[in-house]
Order: sequence, then structure tokens, then C-alpha cells
Amino acid sequence: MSATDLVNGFLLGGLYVLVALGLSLAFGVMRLINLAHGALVIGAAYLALWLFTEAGLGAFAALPLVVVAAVLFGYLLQRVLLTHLMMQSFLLGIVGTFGLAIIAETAFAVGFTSDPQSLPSALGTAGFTVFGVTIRAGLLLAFGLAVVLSLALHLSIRRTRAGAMLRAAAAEPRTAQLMGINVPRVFGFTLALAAGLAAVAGVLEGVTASFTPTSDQAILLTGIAVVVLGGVGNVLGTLVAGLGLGLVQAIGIGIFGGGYANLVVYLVFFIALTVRPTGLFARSSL
Amino acid sequence: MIRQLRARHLPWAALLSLAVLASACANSGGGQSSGSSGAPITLGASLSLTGSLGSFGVDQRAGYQQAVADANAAGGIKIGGTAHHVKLVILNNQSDPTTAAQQVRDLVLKDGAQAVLGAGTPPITVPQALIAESLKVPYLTTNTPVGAFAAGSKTGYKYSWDMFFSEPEQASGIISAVGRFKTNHKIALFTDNEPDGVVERPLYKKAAAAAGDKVVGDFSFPVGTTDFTSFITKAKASGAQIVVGQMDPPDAVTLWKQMKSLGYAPKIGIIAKAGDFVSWVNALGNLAEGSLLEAVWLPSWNYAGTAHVEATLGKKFDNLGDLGTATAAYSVVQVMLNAFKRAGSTDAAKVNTALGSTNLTTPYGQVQFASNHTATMRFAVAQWQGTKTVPVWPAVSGTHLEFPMAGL
Repeated sequence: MSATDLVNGFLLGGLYVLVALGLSLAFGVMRLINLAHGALVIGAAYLALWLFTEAGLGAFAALPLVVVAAVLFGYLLQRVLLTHLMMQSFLLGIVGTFGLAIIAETAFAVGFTSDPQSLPSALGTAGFTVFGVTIRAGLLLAFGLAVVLSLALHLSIRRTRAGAMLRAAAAEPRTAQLMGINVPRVFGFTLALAAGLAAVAGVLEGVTASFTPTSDQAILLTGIAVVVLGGVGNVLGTLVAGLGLGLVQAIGIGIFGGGYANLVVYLVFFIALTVRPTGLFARSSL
Repeated sequence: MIRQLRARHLPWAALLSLAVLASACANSGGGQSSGSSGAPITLGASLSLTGSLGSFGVDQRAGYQQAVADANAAGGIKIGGTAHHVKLVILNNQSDPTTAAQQVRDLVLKDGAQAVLGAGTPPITVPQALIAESLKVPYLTTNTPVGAFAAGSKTGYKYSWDMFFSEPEQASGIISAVGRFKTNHKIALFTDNEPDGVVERPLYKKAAAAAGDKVVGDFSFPVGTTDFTSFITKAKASGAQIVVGQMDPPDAVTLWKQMKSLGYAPKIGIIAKAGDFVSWVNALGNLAEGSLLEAVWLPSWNYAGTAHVEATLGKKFDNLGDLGTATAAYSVVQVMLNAFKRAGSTDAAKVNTALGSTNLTTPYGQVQFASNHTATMRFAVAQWQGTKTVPVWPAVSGTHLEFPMAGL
């Protein structure tokens, strides 16, 4: 196992963090296990691909547009559909997002075929060597964005008025409603934010790897593992867990070989949960 | 507030439910039929039109549909003096083995398929074949290396047949193809844990040893692997100038991109299965330039019907990878319908017996089944030059090969 393996594994964790942040936020605030989160990630990658093929926009030039589109979509989705389903029952919300994921997979396949796709970007295939360690530029960017967005999100939740409303809605939605907070709107903003974060993850995923209509499932699983390890709703915990998972994966591959990568990761996952059932960082940011 | 929300959004919940249903129904595919003097012969096909093997399914569908259209245009299949048009029912198994197997059952029991045409790759076709066995319905497939297919049934097949290349020939063909280029003969081998990857891995090593090449990196991993950093750094450190692999397309695209970002530039490379279709070039762009692919079939072999296939399917596919897969599928239909004709009946057992005695020249090649129900077809390797392909192995005179690969 080389230093390059470890460094890139750690940086890959940044991508996991970006995937998990929105998932953690949605669950932390709304108790919504958003099974369509992976589809939001992949949907953003497909939107960026469409902007490239139709308008010639590069992945990073398209990123702001993709994020805005995702934010609007997330807000409307929550206000128009999911809040209603959640109000009826906890399970209905989950089933609803599952249905959305299936619809999204079908829509992606119809719109873009099921061929593997990748976002063309010089950054995605660029790398540089520092002290003998070759670093993938795309992963370094993912890591940087993960740190910046995690800190920004954490501080926003803890230090701003909007964050206080978010925390109030998360802690006790009925009381928050009685106190004059428009909880459905807060929920709408929460999913909008989660979708925006998913969009960042999607573009980075598309630039650094490949995606197909069904890639959302593996992405969702990784995201859930990070969320649970980091502690639901704990933004900084998500950051540490994501980076840690990337590192553990790299170490696992280095020691046991690629065939055991997932086994090692999920073994660590179960051991960590056995020792700390509420996640390694149980205290929520919310 | 809850009641208000409930009243306002109830229609949307209904809409979602309908959409989910519509989505499920959309995957059930469709068929085509036309009238004839006799009852139509129904062929069923469960193809991987979406999912990780979607590239196979789209090409195969084109081949199946073209062959059925040609048969109907020629007046159908004459059985006992009566012409029967051919009806083709295609379902999408979404690259899922369980769905693929279930759909064979559905095609026979619900759609009345009298014979079933297979999909591609052993994880999909072997479960399909086993269901066809239990239903006692003739099943014929391609795009499944014959060794893996034959090994799929411990007791031996009775109703299921496969026509494709053999694994040893694939391995030796690929090693021969990379041997045409001037390298240091060091190979980095990337294989996933799907059945064909598991089978091919030792065969590649054996073929490499026989050719005097050395496998200096042997990397095996599960399907769905997204980080190849450790393998690539090892391959780079070992100085391997040749990359050979057997992988699912999405993973291979990721591998290729990561090789570029980690500064690993082998001189020549091929990822069998993943690099076989134009989707490889579409996903990778210039990075795919100069990489090799399994061509399955070359027009220069010039079997009967080649010109027709080039004139019809060649309009849809302008590269050897996709066209070869479509041609193999086209030939599968020819073989199946030929069996119906020779059986003189639509009785499953008689058609199956006729399949076993097939000796037919198709555009794909001469088809004759061995006792293990497989017909071993020829194998070829080509090179991506833009979105076009040129034959590499067997060598075809007058072709210009690019070396080293410009993409990486």
C-alpha cells in the first residue's frame, strides 16, 4: 500500500461526504430517509451532461446551473409531494422517495440510454505529483468542497436565524409551527439544500468516475453508511465519517486486495455501530 | 394544517402511484406481429436493454428485429407447406439475472413464445437457459462464451444452445492482438468477479505465458468498484506497458479515467466486454483513442449474408463492436427459424432436435453445435480510431494501426 493509495483514498472520502451531507440533513431535520437521494446525485450528473451536449457547457461551468435547478426541484418536490406523504405516515414518505428513485432510473434510461456516461473535464483526468505522491485533481477538489461546505453548513445551522428555525423544526415540528415557524416551508428549504448538495456531488461523481441510470443505488448505500457512522444530522460527524470511510477503504484494498474492499468497509461499519449504536459522533448539529 | 396538506396534495400522491405503475409497465417491452396464412410463430427475447449490460441488449434487439423483419418480408417460415409469419416479443430484463430468468417464464407462459432468444453474458443467459430447460422450450443465445455457458448446467442442457466464441480462443486472441504491438511484454491484468472475469483471468495468464509475455500485475475486484488507485499505482510501478481486462462497462470507464489522472499511460490496452461498444468511446471521448475491442465478427470473413447485414444493420452501427453483436443476434434468429423449418413443426421437442442437427452458414459464421450444446464461433480484435474501428487480429492487410494508444 503506497502513500498515493492512502492519500487518494482519504480524498475520495470527500466525495462520500458530499453525497452524505444532503442525506444527513434531510433525515436530521425531517426524519426523512430519502431513498431518492442517489437519484438526485445522478440526476445532477445527467443534467450537467445534457448541458454539455446541448450547450457546450463544461462540467464546472454547468455546476452553478445544475445546483440552482436541483435546489428548485428539491423545494418543489418537498412542498408539492413529500411533505404531504410524510404528514400521512413516516413510511409513506420513504415509499414515496423509493418510487421517485424508480421513476428517475427509468427516466434516465429513456433520456440517456443505459450506457455508462462520464462528464468530460480536464480536471477529472488531471493529476499531479507532490513528494512522490500522485494526487487526482478531481478528488482534491471534492475534498476541498466537502470541507468548505460541511463547515459552512455547520455554522449556518448553529449560528444563523435560518439555522435556528431549522433546528426548531427538527426538534419539535408541531411546537415550532405553533411558534409561528412555517414548518412545511422549512422542510422545503431543507430538501432544496439537500438537493443542491447532491448536485455538487453528482457533478463531481460524473467528472471523476462514470455513471449509469442505476448508479444511484450504490451511491445511496455509501451515503447511508456515512450518515449512520457520522451520526444522523451531525454535519461535522458526516465529514469525519466520510473521510474515514475513504481511508479505511484504501487501507482495506491495500491489505486484503480489491475483492475485499466492501467487506472491510462494512465490517468497520458494523463494528463501529456495535460500539456506538448512535454513530461515532452522536451529537447532532441540529 | 395536516388536513389542509392532505386535501391539497392527495392528487399528487395518486399521480406518483400512477407514475410508478407506468414506470413498471414501461419495462415490459413490446412486440410486433403481422398476419399470415398460418398462425404466427412467436419468438420471445428477454434482453438487457437497460442497466450495466444495456449496450449488449440494444445491439441484440436490432439484430433480432432485422432478422425477423427479413423473414417476414420473405413470406415467413414455411412449415408443412404453410407459411407462418414470425412474431417477436421483447422484454427488458434491466441486466438483472432474476428478472431475466422470470421473463423467460413469462414469455413462454404468458406470451406464448414457442422458442426463446437469449440476452448476453453468462450471469444473464445461464439463468435464462435453466428456466427454458424446466419449461422444455428451445432457447438459443449468443454473446455468452461457450465454456461459461456449458458450465452453467451441471447435468447438461437439453433445450438450451449457445453460439459464441470460446474463452481460451478469446484469451489467446487478445494476447495475440496486443502482441502485434511493440511493447516490453509486461501485462497488467484487470478482471472483475463476474463469471466471465473469473473464467478469463487464468486463461489470460496462460495465454500470456505461452506468448512469452509476463503478467506483472494481477488485479481482481468486485463489480461496482469505483476506486482503482491502488491497482493503478502498482501497475504503473511494475512498468506494465499492456493493459488487459475483463470488466463491466461502467467500472472500466472509471478505471480508464483514473489511469489518466494517476499518470499511468500503457502503450496498448483492451478491456474486454466494456470496450466493445461505441458507448465506450462516447463515455471516454479522446481517452479511448487507440484502445482495442473484441470485434466478435469481421466483414472480411465474408460469410453468406454479410453484404445484407452490412447494408441493413450497418446503417445503424458503423463500428465492428456493435455491428458484430447485432450480426451475431441476427444469425441466432436465422438458426432458430431454420430449425423450425427443418422440424416441419412448431412442436418444441422437434424444433429442439432440429436445432441440435443445425449445419447452417449465417453471416456470423458456420453454425454446428457440439454435444455440449455450444457452437464455437470465431473471435476477432479491433482498434478504436475515433468512433470507427479497424481490425487488428486476425490481421487484415491494408489496415493502419495506431500505436501507442493516443488516449492515455
